[in-house]
Amino acid sequence: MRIATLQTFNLGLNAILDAQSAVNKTQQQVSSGRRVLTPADDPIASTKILQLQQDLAQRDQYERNMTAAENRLNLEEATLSSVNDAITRLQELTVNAGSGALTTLDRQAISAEISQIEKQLGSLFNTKDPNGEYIFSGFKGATAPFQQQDNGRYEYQGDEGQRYLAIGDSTRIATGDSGKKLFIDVRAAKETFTTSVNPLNEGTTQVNAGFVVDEEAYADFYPDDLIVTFNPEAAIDPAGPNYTVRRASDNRVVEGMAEQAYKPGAEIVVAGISLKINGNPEPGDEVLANSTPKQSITDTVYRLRQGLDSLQDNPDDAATLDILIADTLNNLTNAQTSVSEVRSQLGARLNVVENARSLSADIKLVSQEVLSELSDVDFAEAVSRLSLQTFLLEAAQQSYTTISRLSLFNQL
Amino acid sequence: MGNILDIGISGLRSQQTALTITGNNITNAGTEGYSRQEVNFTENRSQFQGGVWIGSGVSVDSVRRVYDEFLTEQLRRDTSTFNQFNALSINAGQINSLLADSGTGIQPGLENMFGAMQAAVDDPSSLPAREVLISEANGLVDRFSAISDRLFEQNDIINGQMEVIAGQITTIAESLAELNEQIQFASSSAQGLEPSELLDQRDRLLKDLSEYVQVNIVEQDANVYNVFIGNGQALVIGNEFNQVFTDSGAKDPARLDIYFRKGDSIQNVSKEIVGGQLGGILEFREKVLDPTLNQLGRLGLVISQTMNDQHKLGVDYDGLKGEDFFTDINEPIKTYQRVLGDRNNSDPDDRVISVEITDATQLSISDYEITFPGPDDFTYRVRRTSDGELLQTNALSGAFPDSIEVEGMKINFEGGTFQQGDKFLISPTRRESINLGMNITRAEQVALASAISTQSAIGNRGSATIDQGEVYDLGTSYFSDEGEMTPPLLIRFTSPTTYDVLDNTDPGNPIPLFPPLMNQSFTPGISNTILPDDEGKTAFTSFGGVIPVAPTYQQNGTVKNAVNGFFPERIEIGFTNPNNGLTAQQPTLITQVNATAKEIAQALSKRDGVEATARTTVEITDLEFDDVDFLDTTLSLNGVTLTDILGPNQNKYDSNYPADVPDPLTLNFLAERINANYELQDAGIVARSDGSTLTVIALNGENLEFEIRGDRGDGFRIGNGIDIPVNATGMATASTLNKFEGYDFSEGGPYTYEFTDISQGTINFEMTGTYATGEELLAGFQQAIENSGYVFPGNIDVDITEKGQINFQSRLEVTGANTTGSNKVAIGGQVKVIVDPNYDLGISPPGNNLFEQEPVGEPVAFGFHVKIDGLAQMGDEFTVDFNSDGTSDSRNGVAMAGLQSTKTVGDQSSYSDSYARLVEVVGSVTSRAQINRDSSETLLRNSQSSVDATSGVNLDEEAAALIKYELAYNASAQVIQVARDIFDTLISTFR
Repeated sequence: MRIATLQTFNLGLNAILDAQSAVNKTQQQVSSGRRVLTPADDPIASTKILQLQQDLAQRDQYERNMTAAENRLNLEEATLSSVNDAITRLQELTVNAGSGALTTLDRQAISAEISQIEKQLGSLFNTKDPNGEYIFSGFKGATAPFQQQDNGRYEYQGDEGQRYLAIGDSTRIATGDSGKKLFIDVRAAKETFTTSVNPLNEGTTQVNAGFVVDEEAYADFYPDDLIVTFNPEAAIDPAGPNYTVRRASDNRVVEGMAEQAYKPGAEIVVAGISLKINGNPEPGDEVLANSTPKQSITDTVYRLRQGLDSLQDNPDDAATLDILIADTLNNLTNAQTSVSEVRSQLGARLNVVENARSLSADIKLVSQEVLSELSDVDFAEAVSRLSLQTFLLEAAQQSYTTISRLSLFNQL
Repeated sequence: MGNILDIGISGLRSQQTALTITGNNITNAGTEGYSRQEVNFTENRSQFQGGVWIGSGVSVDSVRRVYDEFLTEQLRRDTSTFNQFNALSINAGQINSLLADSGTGIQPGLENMFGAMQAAVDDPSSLPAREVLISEANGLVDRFSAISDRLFEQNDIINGQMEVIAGQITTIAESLAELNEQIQFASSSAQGLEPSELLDQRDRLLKDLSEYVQVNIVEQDANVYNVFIGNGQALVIGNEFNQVFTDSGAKDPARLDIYFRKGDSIQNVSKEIVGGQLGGILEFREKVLDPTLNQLGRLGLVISQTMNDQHKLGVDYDGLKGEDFFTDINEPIKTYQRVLGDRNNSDPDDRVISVEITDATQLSISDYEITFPGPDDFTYRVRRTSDGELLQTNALSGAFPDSIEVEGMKINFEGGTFQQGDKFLISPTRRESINLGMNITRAEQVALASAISTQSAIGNRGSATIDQGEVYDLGTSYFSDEGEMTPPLLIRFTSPTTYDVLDNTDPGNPIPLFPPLMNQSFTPGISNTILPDDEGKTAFTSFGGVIPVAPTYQQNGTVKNAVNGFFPERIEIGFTNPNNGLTAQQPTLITQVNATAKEIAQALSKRDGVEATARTTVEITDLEFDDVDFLDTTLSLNGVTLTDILGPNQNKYDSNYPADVPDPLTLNFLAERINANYELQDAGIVARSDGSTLTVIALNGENLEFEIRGDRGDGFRIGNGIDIPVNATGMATASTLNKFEGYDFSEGGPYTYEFTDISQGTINFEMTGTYATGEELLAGFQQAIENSGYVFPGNIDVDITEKGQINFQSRLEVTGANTTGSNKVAIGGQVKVIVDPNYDLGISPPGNNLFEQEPVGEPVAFGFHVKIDGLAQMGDEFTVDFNSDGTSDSRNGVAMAGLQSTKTVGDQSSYSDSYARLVEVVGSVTSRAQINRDSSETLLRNSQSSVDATSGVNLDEEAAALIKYELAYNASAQVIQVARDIFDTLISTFR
C-alpha cells in the first residue's frame, strides 16, 4: 500500500497520543485507588456502588441507634433495680408496721421512714437521661412525670407514649416505658378508685387519694364513677361553696349529696369511699372519683402512710389497719411484679439489640467487601498494566523518531 | 535532424513540466486537503518517412489530480459521525462526572440529610440535632441547585455553540456557492479541464461543513456540487446558497432551534439535523440534558411532596402543626412555569394554563403536549412526548377554570381564547430541581412529634390496649385550632362488643359527637380500627325533630295519630365528574309529608353514592301532677303503656323492671321501665334519666310518640334535646350569672345577647330591669327570648349551667285531657346523610323543615386512626387527645426518616434508587458515546488514511520522481547535444 508522508507522521502521533491517554487513565486509577472514576466507566457497577454506599451509611446510623438504645435501656434497668430495692424495703416496713405490739407513735416513726422512701421513689420515677429528658414521662420528656402536690400525693403528668428507635430495616426497639405502665397501672389487691380533678377546673381544687371505708357499699356501687360538681354559691343558704355528687353513668344525684356545703379538707364519705378536697373551687369545677381495679405505687404508699399517721390505738382502727397492711403488702407485691415484668422485657430488648448488632456487623462486612470489589482498583493488575502502557508509549515515541528520520531526501 | 532537435526540445519541455509538478507536490506535502498531481506523457504523432514511422518526441498529455470521489465521500461521512459522537461524549461526560461526584452529587446530600434526620429522631428534644437537620436539608437543596444551575448553564453554552455553528454553516455555504461558480468558469475557460486547487479547496470546505453537520452532495454538470443538509434542505444549489440560523425554540424559548431560510419561507429543521457537532449537541440536549433535568426535577418534586406531606402530619417543638418542610411545590409562580405556549400560537397571546402537581410519585419524566387539532376551538388532546401516546381527548366546557387530571398532575385552563391549532408544551418537572427550596428555617419548626396521643383510663377492667394512633390528615376540623384537638375523643365501651366515641372536651361530662358515632361494634381479641376511614365523604345533618304547636287530641274511642310535622322536602343528589367537571343530577327525591326520619333515611340510602342514617332524640322534663287525683295518669311511649301495674308472671318487662309505680311518677322510673320493656328494646329505644331530664333515644330514627291520659293538671314538657347556647355580646355582668340568684341589669349595660338558630339565623336581644331571684332571672331570659322575634313552638325553657353558660330549648307542655280522651305528641328524628366523594346534597326551593335550604356538608374524617386490641369490659375508656408537650416524641420523625427507603418514585424506587438510576442512565449514554466516538475515530482515521494513501504526497516517491525526471531532462538535453554534434559534424564536413 502507498503511504503518504503526512500519514506516516499522523499515524505515529496518534499512536503516541493514544498510549498517553491510556497511561493517564491507569495512573488516575492507581493514584485514587478507584477502579470506577466516572459512572461511564461502568454504569451498572456505579449504580450498585451508590446503593451500597447508601446502605452502609444507613447501617452506621443503625449502629449509632443501637448504642443509644443500649444506653437508655441500661439506665432504665438500673433505675428499676433501685425501685425494686425501695419496694422491698417498703414491704419490710409494712410488715413491721403490722405488728400488733406497736403504738400509734411507733407507727408514726415507721411512717416517717416510709415518707423518706416515698420521696426516694418520687425522685427515681423522675429520673432524667443524659440529655435531660425524663425517662418515665412518655412523650412529655420535658415534664417531670411524678409531681408531688401540696397534700403530699404524687400525680402523674406524663402520657403513655413509648419511644422507639430503628435498629434495622424492619426492626424497631422500644427504648423506654411510660411511668403509667410501670408505676400507675398496677393491679390492686381490691377494687378501688382513683381521684382526679377535671383539667377544665378554674379553681384551685386538689383531691387526696381517698380510702375505701365501706367495702360492701363500694362493691355495690362499683364500677360506677362519681363526679363531684361545685355549684354556684347562691345555691345554699347561707351562700357559700357547695357541691353535688352525681353518678357518672346517668348523671343522677347520689342520694343525700345534693348541694352540700364545702369545707376545705373535710372528709366526704359517699358510696363507701372517703375523700378529702382542698383548695378554692369555682362553680362548675369538678372532682372525679373513677372506679378502678388498679392502684399506683405512689397511691399505695400514700394511703399506707396516711393510715399509719392517722389510725389510732382502738379496736376499730386496728381492724382497718390490719386490712390496710394486708392490702398494702399485696399491692407492693403486685408493684414488684409489674416492675419485674418490665425488667425482664428490658433484658429481652437488650438481647435484641445485641443480636441486631452482630447481624449488622456481618452485613456491613459483606457490603464493604462487595463495594471494594466493585469500586477499588486491583493494584497488582493496575500497576502491571501501567508499566505495559508506559512501555508501549516509549516504543511509540522511539519508533516515531526512527521512522521520521527515514527519507530519500537524506540520500540526495 | 530538425526532428531530433524537436524531439529533444519536446523532451526538455515535458520533463521540465514534470519537474514543476513534482516540485509542487513536494512543497504541498504538508498542505491539508492537497491532492497530489501526476503528469501523464504522451508520444507525439509519428511521421511516415522513408518507408518507416518515425516518432516525433513527447508532450505532456495531462496533469492529473489523484483523487477518489468515493473515499472522499466516506471521509466526509466519517467526519460527521465522529464529530457527532465527540460532541455528545464531551457534553455528556461533564454531566456524568457532575452527578457521581461526591462533592456535587445528590446521593451524599440525601445520606447526610437522612443521617441528620435519624439523629434528630433519636433525640427529638435536642434543638442542636434539629438545627443540623435543617442545615443538611439546606445542603441537599444546594446540591440540587448546584447541579441544575450547571445543567442550565450547559444549555446556555449549547445555545451559544449552535449559534456559532449555524453562522459557520452559512459562511461555508456562501463560499461553496462562490467556488461552484469559479470552478464552472475556470473549467469552461480551460476546455473543461478542472482547476485542481479550486477542487481541493471545495473538498476542504465540504469536510469542514461535515464536521458541523452531515451533508449530502449531488454532483451536477460534472463540476458543480449541490449540497443538502437535514432531510433535503438545499444549502447550496449551483451558485446560490440558503441561510441557516438559530432563534428561540418554538416550544421552549430557552432552547434555541435551527431554522432554514429559503427565500421567504422559514423552516424549523432542528429535528431533521443529523450528524456533525450540531447533531451531537442536539442529541445531547434531547437525550441527556433534558431527561436529566426532568429526572432531577421529578426527584425534587417527589422529595418535596412526600416529605412535606409527612411533615405536615406532625407537630413541632412548640406544639404547632408542621408546615411544609420544603417549599410548596404548587406555589402559583411554579404552576405557570410548567406550561409554555408555542410561538406559533395565533394572537392574542392571552391563554393562561397552570399545572399543579397532585401526586408527584405518579409523574413520569416525560414532557407533555396539549394540542387543539380542531375542527373547533375547544377539542384538545394531551399527548406524552416521550412515546407520543395520546392520553386524553377532551373538550373545554367553556367555563374557566376548567381542569383535567393526567398522570399525577392537574392541568388548569384558566382563561383566554383557545383556538384551533394552539399548542402548549407542559414540562412538569423541567425546572423543579432549581425550584427546590427550604420552607422551614428554625430548628423548632421541625415537626418530629405525632399530633395525637392516646391514653387508656386507669379504671379499665378489661385488658384491651390502644395503640399510639396514626395521623393521616391534620386539615380536618379536629385540628383546626393550634395546639389542641377539638374536641378530644373519649372511646367508652358500652359492652364488651360495643363502644361509643364521645366528645371529651369536658371529662366530667362527655357528650356525643356531631355527627354522632355511637354503638359501634367491636370484635374482642383482634385489632379493631375504631374510627371510620376518610373516604372523602361528606355528612349532611338535618335539623332534627319538629316540636308541634300543640299536642294532638285523641277522643276516646277514636284513633287519631300524632304526626311528626315534617313537610315534604325535595332533595337532590348531584354528582360532579372529577375528570371533566360535568355535573349530573339524580331525579329529585320528594319525601312524604310526616315521613319518619327512618323512612327518609331508607329512601335516601337507595340512591347512588348516598348512605343515610337516622336517630331520634326526645327530652322529657318538668313532670307535673296536680293535687286532684281524679284520674290516674297513664303515660305511654310508641303505644307501650309505661305506668301499668302487672302481676308477678308478666312478660312485658325484663326481670329488673321497677314493679311499683311511684306516686307521683318520676323520670327515673320511666327511664327504667323504658329500658326494661322488651318491645322497646327490640325497637332500639333507650332512655336515661338524671332525675330532672329523661332522654329517650330511638337509634333507628323511628318517631317517638308519647301519649298522656289523665287530669289537665298532669303533664310534662317535651323537647328535641338540642340546646341553643346564648352568648353575651355586650357588657359582661359583674358576677357570673347563676340560676339561684337574681341580677340587676339596670346598672351599666347594654347587656346584649345573641343566639343562632340553624334556620332563622342569628337573633339578638337585650336584658334590662332587675330580677330578685334566680327563678325571676330565668323567667326574664325566657321573656326576652320570646320577644326577640324568634319563632318557636311550645315554651322557651332557659337554663344556666354551673359555669354560667345560658342555654335554652323550646319545649311543649303536654297535659292530660281529662276523661274525654288523651293527648299525643310525636317527634321525628334527625337524618344524617353521608355522600360519597364528588356527590352533594341540595334542596329544591322552597326549603322546608328537614334540611337547610343550602345544606353545608361536613367532611366525615377524623384525620387519624386508632386501634384497640384485646378484650374490653363495659365502662372501659380510652382517650385520644392532642399530643401537647410531646417534645420527646419522634413518631412523625420516624415516619419521615422511613421515607428514605420507601419506594416513592413512581411507586417503584426510593429517592436514592431513582437518583442511582439517573446516574446509571447518564453513565451508559456517556459510555456509549465514548465507545462510539472511539470507534468512529478509528473509522475516521482509516478513511483519512485511505484518502491520504490515494491523494497524499509521499516525499520518497516525489524524490524518486525528481531523480527520474531530472535524469530524463538531462537525457533530453543530451539528445539536443547529440543533434548539435551531428549538426556541427555536418557543418565541419562542409568547412
